Amino acid sequence: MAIVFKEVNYSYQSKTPNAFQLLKNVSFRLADGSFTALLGQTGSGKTTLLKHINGLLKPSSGQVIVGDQIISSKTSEKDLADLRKNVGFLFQFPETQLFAPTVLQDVAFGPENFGQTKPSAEQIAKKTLEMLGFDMTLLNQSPINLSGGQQRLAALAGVLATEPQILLLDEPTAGLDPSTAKRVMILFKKLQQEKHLTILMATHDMDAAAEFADQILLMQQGKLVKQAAPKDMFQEKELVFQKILALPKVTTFAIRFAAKTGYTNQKLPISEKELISFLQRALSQDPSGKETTPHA
Amino acid sequence: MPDFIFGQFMPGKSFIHDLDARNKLISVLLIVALDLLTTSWLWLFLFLLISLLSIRLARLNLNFFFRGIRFFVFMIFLTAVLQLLFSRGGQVIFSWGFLQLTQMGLQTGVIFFLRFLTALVAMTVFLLTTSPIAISDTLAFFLSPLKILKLPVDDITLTLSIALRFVPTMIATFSSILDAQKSRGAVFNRGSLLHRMKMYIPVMAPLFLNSVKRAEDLAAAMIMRGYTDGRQRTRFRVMHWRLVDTIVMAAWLPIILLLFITR
Ligand SMILES: Nc1ncnc2c1ncn2[C@@H]1O[C@H](COP(=O)(O)OP(=O)(O)OP(=O)(O)O)[C@@H](O)[C@H]1O
Ligand SMILES: [Mg+2]
Repeated sequence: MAIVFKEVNYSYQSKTPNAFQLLKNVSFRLADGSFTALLGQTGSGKTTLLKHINGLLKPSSGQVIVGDQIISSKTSEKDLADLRKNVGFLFQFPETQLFAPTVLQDVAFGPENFGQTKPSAEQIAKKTLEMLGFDMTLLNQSPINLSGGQQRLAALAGVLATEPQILLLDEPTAGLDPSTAKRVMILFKKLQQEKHLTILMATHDMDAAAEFADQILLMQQGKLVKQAAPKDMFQEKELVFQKILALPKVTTFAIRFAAKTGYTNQKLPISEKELISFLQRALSQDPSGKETTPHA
Repeated sequence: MPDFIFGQFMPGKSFIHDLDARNKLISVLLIVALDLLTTSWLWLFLFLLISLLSIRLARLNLNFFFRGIRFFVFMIFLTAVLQLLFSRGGQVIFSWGFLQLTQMGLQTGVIFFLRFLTALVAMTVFLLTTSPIAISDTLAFFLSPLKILKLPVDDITLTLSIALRFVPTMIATFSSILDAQKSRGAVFNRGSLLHRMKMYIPVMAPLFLNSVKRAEDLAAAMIMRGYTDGRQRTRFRVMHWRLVDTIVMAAWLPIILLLFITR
């Protein structure tokens, strides 16, 4: 399902004296089946933007269009139920939402709400947990007794079990151990590629954005600054300089390297693979700028 | 939560904000108490006027203020209507089936409404203009004589101020859990009352767990920093009783006297 924002404005507590505009004239379009990273400094409005896509917040003005459903300030709560069936939302620190006596029951909560019978909801729950590589001996444990990483996986399963077509992720790997984080990111990519999910992920992890996203939205103080593919976005040294954008590790490294060696007139790498060829080309060049070996 | 202002604090600068919290609390209690003592229309309206005036003096937006308390106003109104219909006595003005509107009932209902509206407005202005820290300091001040009775006043007020401090945090946690469960298809405004109450389990259970965890963490952090008990605690923020406060207090004297004379 495609996601379209049309001149969306959102003010917090719009009818009170401390009204505060959190989204300012935001417009963009995300194609069906795309994987987009939502970047921006803390407080730039990423979470606020995500909440518009499943109707937790409604625009003060403008429209949000998800699939063929239009959400405006007038949309009723009833119409949003259908929308939420199609949109899964993994909140920041989602483990706080675990409530049921057992992991299995907690994961089955979503599918049950969306109309599955109890047995089939539990079936889906098991399948989802298995797919996430969750330790299945813990299925009937209370979620409280799990470790932080296991809790995160259980919460993630709770969202994926609703079998959404759009997946909203709010810093999904923050606080996870590196190997679990990697595994979870690869899983998201797989869901996009194999199940054709449309994914929008708010993140501070530039490496993950560079590696997994095919497109980046950059926010600053409630405004959309730029929409571009990672390879183009991370060339924007001016935005980096203004501290609106941060860079992947490899890109930062390449910039430092270039500054030391004077080797600047080349596209910056955003992956390890690109970094290697960047260095090969740089090293094969003598200081005068002439190539000494013909291949890169 | 946006339409619910009772118990929130709105920082700001105004005549009311700047009054000493002790003064404000006494004034609120006086309004409420005197309002209960009198049945004269003149006084009842006067006190309502004073509390309404305090909204202006606190530079609060009237529209915002009444949107925030309309739920309570509605509840008071409903109770007043019940009073109105069920207190008997005096001349019958109107009757319909077993319902009877009597002069006595009308009077009781209206007085009830005025009294509670006044109290609600005064209390809300107090809470909106007084920081949680000032509130707990105020309570500590008024409770401190009880130390003679070996009551652990310091511990009580420290506990209270921590509790007040965590109200906004709990509200934030509550709404984020609510959002998360809504996203998983929980619907809170449908079905029977029992069903609706059941739907709140997925919200209340994690909220409760969270709070317990937070409390444990806080306790651990306090112990690590050498906290032993609340005694001999010095305060970073000291309350200042100023001349205006004395004047406000003094202004109450003639009001109290007049009220008792005219009774
Ligand atoms: N309930 C609220 N009340 C008041 N202000 C809010 C509320 N929710 C968000 N804000 C404000 O809105 C702005 C954007 O918040 P948002 O949570 O969308 O930022 P973010 O980009 O997700 O930040 P982070 O990276 O830290 O998660 C912030 O300045 C925040 O203070
Ligand atoms: Mg956020």
